[in-house]
Formats: sequence, structure tokens, C-alpha cells
Amino acid sequence: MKIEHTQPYENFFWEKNKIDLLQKFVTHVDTKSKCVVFADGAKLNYDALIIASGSVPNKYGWPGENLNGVQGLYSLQDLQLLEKNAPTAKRAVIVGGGLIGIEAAEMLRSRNIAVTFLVREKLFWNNVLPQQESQMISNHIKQHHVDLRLQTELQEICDDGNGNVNAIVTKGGERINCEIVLLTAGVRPNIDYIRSSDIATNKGILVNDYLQTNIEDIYAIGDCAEVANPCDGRRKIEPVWYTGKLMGEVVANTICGKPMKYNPGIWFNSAKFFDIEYQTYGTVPSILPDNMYWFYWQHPHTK
Amino acid sequence: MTGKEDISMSLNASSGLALKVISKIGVLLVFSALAIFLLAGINIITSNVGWWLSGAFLFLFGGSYLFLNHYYKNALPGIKNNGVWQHSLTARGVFAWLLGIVLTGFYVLLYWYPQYLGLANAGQFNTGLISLFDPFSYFLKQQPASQWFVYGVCYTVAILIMGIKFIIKYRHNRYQVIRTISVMFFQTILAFLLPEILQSLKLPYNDFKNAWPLNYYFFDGWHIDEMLHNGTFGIFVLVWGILLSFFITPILTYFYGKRWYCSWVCGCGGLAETAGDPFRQLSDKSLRAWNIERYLIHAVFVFVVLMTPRVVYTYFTGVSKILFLDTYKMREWYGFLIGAAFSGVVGVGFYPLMGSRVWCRFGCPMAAFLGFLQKHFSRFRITTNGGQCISCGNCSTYCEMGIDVKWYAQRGQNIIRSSCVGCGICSAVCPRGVLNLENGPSDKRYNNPITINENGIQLNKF
Repeated sequence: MKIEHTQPYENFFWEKNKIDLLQKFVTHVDTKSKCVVFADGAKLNYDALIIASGSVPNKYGWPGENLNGVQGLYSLQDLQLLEKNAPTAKRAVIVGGGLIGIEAAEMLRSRNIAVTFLVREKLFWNNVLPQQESQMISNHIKQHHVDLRLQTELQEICDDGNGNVNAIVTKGGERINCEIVLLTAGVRPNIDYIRSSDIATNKGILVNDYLQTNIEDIYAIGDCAEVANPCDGRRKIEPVWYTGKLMGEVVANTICGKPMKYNPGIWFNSAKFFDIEYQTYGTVPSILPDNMYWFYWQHPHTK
Repeated sequence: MTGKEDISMSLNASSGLALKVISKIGVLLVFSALAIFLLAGINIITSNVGWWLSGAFLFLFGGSYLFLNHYYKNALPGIKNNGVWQHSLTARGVFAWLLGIVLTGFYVLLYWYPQYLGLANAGQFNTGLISLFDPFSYFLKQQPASQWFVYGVCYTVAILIMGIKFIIKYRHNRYQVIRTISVMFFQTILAFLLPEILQSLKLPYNDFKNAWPLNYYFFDGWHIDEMLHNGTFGIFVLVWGILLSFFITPILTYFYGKRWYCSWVCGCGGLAETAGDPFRQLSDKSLRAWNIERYLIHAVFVFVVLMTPRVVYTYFTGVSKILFLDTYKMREWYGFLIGAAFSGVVGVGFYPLMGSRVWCRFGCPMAAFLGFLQKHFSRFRITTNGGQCISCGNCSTYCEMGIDVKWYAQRGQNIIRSSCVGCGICSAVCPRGVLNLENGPSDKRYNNPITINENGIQLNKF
């Protein structure tokens, strides 16, 4: 696919709907004089500010995590970097077994790049999925010629002497040669530039039921928002696409004069693991509480 | 690649796409078949053509089978569109242009210069490519081949081979498998074999699934005469043709949408769905393209609708000048511009450049008619599962009709578009199971069965 296939709207949409798109980095939010300050020093005043700055990939201070060829997979820029690195790569190592990790594995396999997938848990996504589902997906990953390494953690990333990655070493001491390392051990809210303002933050930007921050006229939505009092079965930070979309609809109502509470209802989500389409409605615990039981059925002719 | 079986899940990755010996033999056979057609075309093969033709078919089917079986055998069932934007043939590269030129050139010869394909003048024998097909034509209907016979055979073979490929590619998807068997059946039996058998029985040629207005000559004087002068059979053709266009089409479209015709029965659709599948991503999704589509296809439809009553009027009265325009001239121009140039040369010749449904989307009057019914009088819609769309864009990318499916899906809105042929590929490629082709009560089609929004999840009653 091309970039235009992934854009939610055609490019004419913004101008037609009288939306100015500014491509700039915000370095500070001045809540007193109600303006945002850009990296180039310019300022922009606002009546209402909606912060939707998303996430950044987690890094845990691994040795070598800033070498060339080591990257996360979150933005268009990350994808462009991967396109640049991929043609010469023979092997990639993916660190962290979640949804971004498996999508990265699928992408790299589509270009016939060998993939080693380091997963800390004893099965893929075992801290989210029940045991049997985790097992099924782990098997499926292996069927797609991915070298899945369970209960394996990253020790360090090695330099080839020119600032490029040429291998990783696991905590077990094994050295795996590679030209690409993808860090996909989850994401965290991208709010470092907010910390200099008086907007209240914890892990994310703290918001109330109306998605409003501690400052009037400032709202936060999507991955970067931390809902102070989420409804039952919901987490405070939910970095998934549809919650961001719902939050956007809610805050649009609010700033247009129809104050609305954010109520996403029961938890649901969907994903795709290579060829397996996965949907979940309601909370399915990965560790079974005493008063619940699992029902698991698999077609006898499938692996 | 070495001959060693790849069992490792590590180190240098096994390439499911690399050619092994068996698939190389397959490619060799397919090219041998093409070479036979070429050699016949330049009059090098002139004797034992029956054997050469049989050999060519054997090589074509056998070679394709060897290649495809190996190509997909090692791949798990599932969507296989990797690299379509990287390959020259499927991403408007050099090979795509070459194929486009070859196909376009073939259609130009077929329609306007069949003598270069070897079509004989009256009383003489065919030469070249057409003579290669003489034995097969004699076998079916005791007549020498014409350029249309050659075309019919090639068309059917293309649908069969690429249909088998499509079935293997989408073998995990029952809808796609059944639908493809359906287009292969209708092409082989109704569009190809039955008309040939009719001719061998000295009855007029007739494709029973080709409905007016796609079949624009149905009400032409010569065709009406033909039907009236062939006894019970002729009357049956006439009655069936009228029933098909004006009763069966609206009724089936009411229940199932235009898909019953466009992606299950129609020959143009059949070729687009099978041979055109590698090019489906090339259709333009922009709003601009949609605007052009609406003007163009409806203009063609208006043209047909204005032309047909005139043709019938001229037939009964003998008056051909009506309101400054000559019916025969109008009919001739339609045949040239729409019947030949648009549906054939552009419709198929431009597959590798503009996608597989150029004709169906921009020109087909039948599609316009069915589309009008689908939009206003139908139970068909594509639902979006409460807006669980993640805006990944796969649906829009692979929509052969150029519908920006994602635009609807990401708003959780049902998709009701006159152009949708219901091929179901958007649903197949959706990674989240969001899109579903459904038939249901037509009065509440624009309401969603499920909404997930700021009020939580609601199951809506109809």
C-alpha cells in the first residue's frame, strides 16, 4: 500500500473543511497566555486546546539502543526509516511480544527478511491472552517462519564499530547477528513537552470524565490521555485506535457547547496475527480467577 | 535456492516465491504455449494445427497448474497481496505497460483488422492465428473459426486458468470460492459452449445471460428478425431476453444487490474477477474519479435508453430519421465507441494501468441500471460492525470499483453505493472483520445494526 491509502481522508479534506494543518513541533504550552510555543520560536494562540500527541515506543536503557538500524515502529517516519534499512538486511530482531511486534514480523517476512522475535513471556502475548489462545498464536507465528524465542530477553545491542547494529546478545548470552532491531516493547504517552507546563500529568495527561485536563479549555484524547476515573473494566490509558476515535467525537461535542461524558462501554478489541483474525468483547482474563472458567474450542483440522 | 527442504525457522528465510525446478517447468510450458500461438500467428505453423492447438492448451493448463500449485502450496491459506506495489507488472511498471500495449493491440486487430489475425475472405481458407483454431471450431460447429471464436476461446481459457488461481489464492474464503466457480461456469457453459452448440444445430447464436442493455443489439432490427424467424426457439430467446432484463434483473437485484450479476454471472465481470485480480488495486479511489464515473456511466446509459426505443421504432415504421438523428448512424457509433472501443480495447487493454473494472465502472450501461436498482430498490448493503474500523485502508486499496470503502467504515456507516459489485474482497482483506456483505430490510438500510460510539455499544432493532 501507499501513504495515500492509509490516510483517513484525501488531502483536499482539510482545506475544504477550513482546517489549517501546521506541521511543526510544539515545545511548550503556555496556559497563562493561552498559546503553544513551537520549536522554531513561533507562537499560536488558542481558545480551546486539544492535545492528541499519541505515544512513543518504550526504551528501557538497553546498551546500544540508539545505534543505526535500531528503531521503534509507530510513525510514518519510522516506516520510512524501516524502508531505508530493510533492503540490505538479512535478519531482523524484534524485541517485545505485542501487537506492534507481530505486525513488524509480518511486514519483514513479506520482504523475505529473516525474523527473530524475542518474547519475555512463556508464550506470545501471554500476559493478555488466556493460555490456549496464546499457544495457538505462538504456533501460528512459527508456521510463518518466524524464529520465535520465548522467555528470552534482550541484554545488549552490539555496534559494528561504525555506529551500526550488527548483532544482539540475549540475557541467556546468545549472540544473534542482525542488521535491524525493532524495539516493540509497548508504548508510553508522548508528553515530555507537556511537563514544562502546569497541565497535570501522571503516566499520561490526566483528564476527567469530560476529557478535560486540570486547566479549563485544555483537553487530552487518545494514547496520551490518562482517564482519572475510568468506567468498569476499562484501563486508565488505552492506546488503541477506536478509543482515540471515540474520545475525539466526545470532545468535539463538548467544545461545540454540548458537554459530553466519555463512556466507551465494555472493553472490546480486535487484532490480526498473520492469518488469524482475533476479536474480543468484554474482559477475558489471562489468569483465571477462582469464580470463572474458560471455554476453549478449536476446529480439529486446524493446527 | 538449494534443493534442501527448508524446515528451519531461522537464518536465511525460505522464500516461498523463489522458483523451484517444478515451477520453472511450469513457466516453460506456458511460454511454449504462447510461442505456438505466436508461430501460428506468423504462419510458421500451418499443418497439423489440431495437434498444435491441443498441445498449446495442454501446455497452458498444465504449466499454469504446475506453477500455481507450487507458488501457493507452501503458503498458508490467507490473504496474499504481499509486494503488489513493488512488482513491475502490478504497480504500473514497465511490464504493466508492455502487457497493456499487447492487450490493446490485440483488441484493435480483433475488432478492426481481423485479416491480420488470419481471417479469410469469403470462399478462402483462414491463415495465421485464426487457422490454428479451425479444428476446434469444426469440432464444435462444423464451421471454420472466426476472430470471435478465437476471442471466445481465449477469453474462456483466461477465466478458467486465472479462476483456478483465484480459488487457490482465496481458498480460505468460501464466498470467494463459490463465486469464482459461478463465473467460471457461466462463462464456459452459457457464454461459450451453448452458443457454439446452438450454431451447430443451425440455430442463431445466443448468450442467455447477456441482458439488455449490456447486450445492446438485442432490439436491433436484424436481431428481432432473427428471433422472429427461428420458430419456437426464436420466440423463447425473445421472451427470455425481455424477462431477464425487466423482471429477473430487478427482482434478483432487490434481494441480493447487483452482485448476483456483476460478480457471479457476467462475462466482463468474470474476466475482471479472475484475470483482473492482480490489478484490482490500480483503480483510482479519488473523489475526482468518482465524479468522472458518475457522468460517464450515466451518459452511456442515457445513450442506450434513447437509442433502443428509436431502434424499435425504426424497425416497425421503417423511418430512420428521428429528431435530426439517423437511427442507424447512432447505432453504428454506439457499437464503435461503446461496444468495441470502450468495453474491449479500454476495458481489458487497460487492466494493468487503470485496474480491472474500467469498463464496469465507467461505461457499462447494465452496471448503471443495476446500480440504480441497488442504490434505491435493494436489500443489499455492506455493514461495518459498529465502526471497529482502524482506518488501515486495505478495503479501499483492493476495491476494484474504486470505492473509498474506508471512508464509510471509519465512520461506522453502512456502505450503499451503486457501483459496488459485491465481490467481497473488502471484507476478505479487512484485518478486523469489520465489513460484512448483508441482505436485510431495505427501508432501514442506512441505519446500522450495531453502533459503538460515545454512548457505548448499542444493538439496534430493525
